[in-house]
Amino acid sequence: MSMSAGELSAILPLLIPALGACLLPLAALDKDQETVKWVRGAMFFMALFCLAGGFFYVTRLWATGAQPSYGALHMDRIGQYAGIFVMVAAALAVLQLWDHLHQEGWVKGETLSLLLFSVVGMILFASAGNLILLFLGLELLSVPLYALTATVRLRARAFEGGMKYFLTGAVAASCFLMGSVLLYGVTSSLDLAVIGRALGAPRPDPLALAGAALVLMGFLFKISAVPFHQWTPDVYEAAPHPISGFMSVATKGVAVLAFMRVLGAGVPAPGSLRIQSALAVVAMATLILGNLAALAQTNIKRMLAYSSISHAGYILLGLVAGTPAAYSGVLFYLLAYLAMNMGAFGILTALGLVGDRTTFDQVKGLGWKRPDLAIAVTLCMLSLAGIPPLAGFYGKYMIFKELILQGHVSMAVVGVLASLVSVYYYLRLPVALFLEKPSEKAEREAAERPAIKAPLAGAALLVCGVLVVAMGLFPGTVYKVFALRVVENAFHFVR
Amino acid sequence: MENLLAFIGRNMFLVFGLMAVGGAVALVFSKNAVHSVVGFLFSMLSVAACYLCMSAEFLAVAQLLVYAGGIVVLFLFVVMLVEMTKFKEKGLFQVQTPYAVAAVILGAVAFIGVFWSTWFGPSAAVPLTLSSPELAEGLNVASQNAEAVSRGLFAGYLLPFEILSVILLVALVGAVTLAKKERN
Repeated sequence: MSMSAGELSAILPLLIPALGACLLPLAALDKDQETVKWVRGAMFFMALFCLAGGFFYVTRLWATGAQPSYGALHMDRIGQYAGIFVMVAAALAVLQLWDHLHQEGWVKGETLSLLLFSVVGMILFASAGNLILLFLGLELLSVPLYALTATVRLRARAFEGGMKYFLTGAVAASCFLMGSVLLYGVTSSLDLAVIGRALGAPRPDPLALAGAALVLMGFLFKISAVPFHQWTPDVYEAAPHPISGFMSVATKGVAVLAFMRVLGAGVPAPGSLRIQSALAVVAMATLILGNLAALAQTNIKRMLAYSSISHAGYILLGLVAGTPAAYSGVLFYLLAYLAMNMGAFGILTALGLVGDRTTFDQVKGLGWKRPDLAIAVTLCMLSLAGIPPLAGFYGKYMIFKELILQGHVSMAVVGVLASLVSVYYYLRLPVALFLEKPSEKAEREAAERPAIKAPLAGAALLVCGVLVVAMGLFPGTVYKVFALRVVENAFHFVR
Repeated sequence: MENLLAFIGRNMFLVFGLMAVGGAVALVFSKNAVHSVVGFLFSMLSVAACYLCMSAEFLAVAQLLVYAGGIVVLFLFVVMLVEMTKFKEKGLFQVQTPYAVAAVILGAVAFIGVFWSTWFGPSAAVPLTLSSPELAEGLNVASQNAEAVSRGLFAGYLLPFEILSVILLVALVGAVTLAKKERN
């Protein structure tokens, strides 16, 4: 059988990272497990090279406005947005991994290979037009993450976290699969558009609703919304710092994108109204619980994990509003979230906080040693809290505005209150970095340890800081070039 | 006697189906783990025969190769390698009983609901068929089901098939990553 150029261009964004992922384990072959430095460098370069190749290919598609598809794989604006989003996040994670894995003394090429495979799965997940591809994308993105969580086995926590993620993830995936089977059984179609129409009918089949609920559960697990969030803090704590950052940003991002595609495929109707109200309940619970639990954390990574849960709440609020403007607000928010959360997790690597030494006590006074990094992370934190001139503020503003216009004023009020509460725990990190004095014991220990050099992680953090400020200064441009185009071109209900 | 034989000949599916259920019952209720695996094997073989009765030869052979040939042997290995004394078994499995009962009740309710709607509900407008027409075009599905399956795998669903193989590769790489020993 032959393949047209359009079909090839639809799957190339998947093939480029997949090729790198297949080649990397070969580079990681070694007899005595002591990879020489230039081979390590070459592996990281290869991973970055593949990501850059994929990135440039997808941005080229974006610039020409082509929306190719191959069978049920639609590399339309949503898929391309996901490609750009995930590859930027992965590139930042690779830069941080170089330093983090060297700090931990555990540099393995397979880590990069798994990361790239996960990238492939994520792009597939967001561009899948039928249930089979959707499920395969879900598996292809999660299976590498299970292994990545446990990858640094020198740490006792790593295996426990990986196992926990694997078991809960397997349950969520099987729920998703069961839901897809029910949907297929009722509608006798795998196509998301047909299923969306069946769900939007005035009196949808109860079995179809049960199937939709199970599929929704799979999505909410990946977004880490509240009843399905328990794995998040433990897993983020166990995983290597850059991988935690990557998981919190990219997994959530593509799950939201794929979910938007599933929601957007159906015409707004009584069936989707029920999903809307279920989402509203979940979003409220997520906002309240995520923010309150984050207040009590002493570990930076756990605090960031609960913060990522609460951000899932803001994103879900955007989906509850459900208008095109709200969707494009969510897409802008995701871009802002990419920069600020990769930056927030990046500070852990850039300051060389290895293993479990990630409490607030460990970073006291460190800001004066590396003021540039500390300022960058402070900007990220302020943006996460939603302080006005930064990127995070505009994302929240767009979502809340649309909520109020749709008449959900009380939800918007809860959202604003939640982000006020969040200011407290986000400011704890800058306060610890700049205003608190380290204990004498910590200072002595720090003097004994060799000086931390993390040039790549530091650079990645600075890039995040710059992005947060740039998106805050020019929100209109970013909104028009990225967020609005997705909604205009890819969602059919807008036309 | 002749009548009975003719009846059995007409209802081979029923016979093998009952044999499969019998194997499954033996799997659940036998006290010895090895006997359980043999019951499982019996059940799998009967299911393969059921496929043959529905003239799905390819599926029957695949069932024999994969389940009877591969998975049962794997199970036997595990059962024989992992030493499970009766005492340990008791302690391990008794804890889950209430949850198991709850799950079974939930499953039974769902199952009855599905059957209820199948028998008494409105019939579907379009019959549910697994072979989409374009995949079976030009093929006599009754006699050429291997061709139809291959056309589905390598033409209609080529991309999912390839992605599946990538997922297997990922599982392999992940397992190597987790199992690699650090030598000092």
